[in-house]
Amino acid sequence: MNHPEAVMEDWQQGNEEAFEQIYTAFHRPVYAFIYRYTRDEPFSVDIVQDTFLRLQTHKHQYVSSKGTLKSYLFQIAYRLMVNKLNRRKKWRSLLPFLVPSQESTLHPAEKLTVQQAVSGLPDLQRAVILLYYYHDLPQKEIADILHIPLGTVKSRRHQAIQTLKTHLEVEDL
Amino acid sequence: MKNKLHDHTELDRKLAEYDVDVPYIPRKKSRWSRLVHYLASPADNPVDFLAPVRPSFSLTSVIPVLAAASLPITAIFL
Repeated sequence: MNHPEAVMEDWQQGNEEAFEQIYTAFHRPVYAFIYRYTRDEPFSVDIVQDTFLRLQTHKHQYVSSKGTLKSYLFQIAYRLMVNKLNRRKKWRSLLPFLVPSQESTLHPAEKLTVQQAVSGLPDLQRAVILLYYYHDLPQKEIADILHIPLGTVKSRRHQAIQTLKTHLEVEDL
Repeated sequence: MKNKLHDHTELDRKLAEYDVDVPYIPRKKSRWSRLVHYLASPADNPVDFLAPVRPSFSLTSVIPVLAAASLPITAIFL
């Protein structure tokens, strides 16, 4: 794919084929982020589709000088995911049996797999470590995506690393 | 992955094990398939409190049997 921001500009100027290129390049990373965060496949698929639908309906709101297309898409996806999870939480409190059940927790003596260790991180730490490690995003962009200060990104990243090391029984070097 | 967790090579290696298989995702999805996904997702049992804690006959299994048995018995005396 050419420079994503250039392809986006192309699409904004009316080349509908450019959207296909954007979808092909970014739907997998967006899915992987949401899936690693929630471990819920149908939910992640819904968020990917909603993200690109939102991009289509608001395509002229993207301005390349404000950030990369990748972080713009992750920002949309993250907000949609958080809103949907909050809605789910409300439904859970009203009608507990209508909302998909949570996975069972592990016995403390069992060694966690990396998937379980990542899922067990607090929400913000999990988002930071996923965006930083699996999606190569700079900490400044992560701060923009999550709407938190840069210092918070750094501290959450540090805390997440320490928690993961403890849970995965990784030795300090 | 360029953003390695500096000086955490063992942790890097462990995190790299976490692969995600991306399913086929059509660009658009109908409301119908969203509903099917929602209905097919696992949910808690709304009458879970009736389930027996120990292995035994629960009221939910005994009551229908007793009710069914009582009907012909009642009919005998009518």
